[in-house]
Amino acid sequence: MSFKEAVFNITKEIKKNSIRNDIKKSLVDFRQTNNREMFENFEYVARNQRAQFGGFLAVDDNRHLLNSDNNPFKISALPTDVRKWMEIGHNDILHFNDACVATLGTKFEVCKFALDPYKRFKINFTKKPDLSGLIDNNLIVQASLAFKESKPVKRLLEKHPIGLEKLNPEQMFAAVNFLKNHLIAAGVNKTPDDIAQVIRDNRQTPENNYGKFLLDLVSALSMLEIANQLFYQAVIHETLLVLNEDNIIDVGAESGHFLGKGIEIECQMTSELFFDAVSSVVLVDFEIQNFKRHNFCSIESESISFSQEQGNSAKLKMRFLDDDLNPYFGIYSNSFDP
Amino acid sequence: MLEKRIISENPEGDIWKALLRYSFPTNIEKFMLAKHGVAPSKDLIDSVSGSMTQAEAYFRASKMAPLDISPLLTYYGSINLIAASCSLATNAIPNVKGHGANLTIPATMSKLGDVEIKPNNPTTGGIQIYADTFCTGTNLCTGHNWTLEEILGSIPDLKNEFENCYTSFPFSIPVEIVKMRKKVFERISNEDFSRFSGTLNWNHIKNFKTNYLNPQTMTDHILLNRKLSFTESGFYSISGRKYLEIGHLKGTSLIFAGQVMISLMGLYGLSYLSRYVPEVWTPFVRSDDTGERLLIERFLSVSQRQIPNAVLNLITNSHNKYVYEIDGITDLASVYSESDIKALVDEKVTEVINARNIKL
Repeated sequence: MSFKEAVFNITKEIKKNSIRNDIKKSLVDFRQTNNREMFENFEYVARNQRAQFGGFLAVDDNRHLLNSDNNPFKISALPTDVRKWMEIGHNDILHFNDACVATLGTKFEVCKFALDPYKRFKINFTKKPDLSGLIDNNLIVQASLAFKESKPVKRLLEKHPIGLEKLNPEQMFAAVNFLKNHLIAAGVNKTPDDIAQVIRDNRQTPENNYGKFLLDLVSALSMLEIANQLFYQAVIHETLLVLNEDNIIDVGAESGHFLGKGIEIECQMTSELFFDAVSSVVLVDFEIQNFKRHNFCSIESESISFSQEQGNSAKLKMRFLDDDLNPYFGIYSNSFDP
Repeated sequence: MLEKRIISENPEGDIWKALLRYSFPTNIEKFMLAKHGVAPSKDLIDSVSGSMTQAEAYFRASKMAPLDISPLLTYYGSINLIAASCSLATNAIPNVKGHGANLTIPATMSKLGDVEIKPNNPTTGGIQIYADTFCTGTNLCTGHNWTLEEILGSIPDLKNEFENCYTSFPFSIPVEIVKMRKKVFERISNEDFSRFSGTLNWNHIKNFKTNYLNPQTMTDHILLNRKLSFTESGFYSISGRKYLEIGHLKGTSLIFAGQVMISLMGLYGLSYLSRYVPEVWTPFVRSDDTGERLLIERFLSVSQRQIPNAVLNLITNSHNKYVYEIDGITDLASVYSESDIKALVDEKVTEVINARNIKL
């Protein structure tokens, strides 16, 4: 079973779960009572953290930083009952992440921060010993095994640098985040030249080996982030957002490069696109003149246009995902093993 | 259908020159061999040739005739022309035994537009047989009436006169086509949309669901983004403006008859009135004080222009645009606004900075 299949098995079960309805209802009720301008709108700020349920907790825990004297927009506290449901969702996602990372073994303890999608947020929440009931433990076990069998993780286990245990976890975290930001900055249609060099170069030099090791970590981290996003979407949306002929205005550039594949699509605005686009996972499903696409993609950037002349539209730049839910699957298509 | 733009200062004259080529037996035979691979029979050649020359004669006469008889002449010219084109298209003489319709004058008639036309002969009636070629798959013989008013409301070039005369909804909506660098979309002005008082059912527009995304309401217009699977299905006025065709609900069937068949039904109705109901037609021609007469005259003029053009399109399998100037299209494909240029520059600079690891 691929990691993608395992994750979607979890999302199917989440949809049937009554806790899901409770979480969703709490958010709907909160939205109605919190109908404020954008920058004072708690939900808008929370969703822009791209941290799923953790985004709500992060904003709540760091309001004092946002509500400085210089800022005229004040964010009020998250109501206790809403916070409770966000913690339930976040707790189970943390369990999922930890189960997946645990399959790497104790040697990779030093990578615990690098592989934590929420490390960069200051969230006052500690994972509870047990699951809250949103995600089934058996399915987490299946997914973690699939995670271990994924291409990035297999390479991590087989090709990690010697002396890994001696590395500094905080430095690992900083390096992985720096690299990830570097890949994102290049855009979805391009691989940075220096990274392409690392991917292409098969020589067993320390620089190449560490470079590839960091790329494997970035891939594994991205897989977890995308899985977390899918669980969150399974709660707040009724169906997965599909970009198809009912909302696509124009298909722009599609490219394949060393990191993977990217695509740019312009589509007509929907409420999901306005609130949740960046980091969302969507299904791209269209056919133009016998050219078909039916792929899951992760939205990396969104540009919204409101124009009286040309109408409202969103331009999305996305990366294709493979069966490991890895947006950087191109790394594993270019064999860098002799 | 391939589009051919033909610049002409005398479109009707040039169209008839092109059509009358098919009044010559040699050309008919050549056409049939090329299209159907078989030589036509002598009867077929004579039928096509005769129909073409008669059609031209009727049309010429109708232009000079007074309104008392011009509908009759235009109608006979049209059915001759359409019969000839059907023969060319099918390599057979149409088995027509009558017009295939009747006309009813309602007891409560208050305007000419109230008269009702009903196609009633699906097997040998001219109207349905010609519809089988011009709007294949469309059944006009549903047992329901078509009012002259709704017929006139279906013809794009009559829009202004129709709106001045009647208060009912038209059966076509003008759109403006806007061409951008990477996409094409269409707009309906609020002024045109407001005619429907918010009751327009988008699903009654031909191929709307398969061609357009959900309409967006803007301040001045309704914006229609085309779907990836868009195929052209509107019809065009003489000036080249596109109109969306609204279907006619007859019972449970939504019928899209197209301009030619709609016009033919309207001409049938007027010719029937002028020939068989002079007690209605004559007072209308002599002393109409509502302005409806202007609409009818315009309808005849448009039919004389449009029907030969549509027939030529069918014969040549191309959309022949005989216009001197085309309106209704705003082409911004080569126009760059300041924000477009800024976005392009920003994109390129960012690409270069990232590619070369330039530290700012």
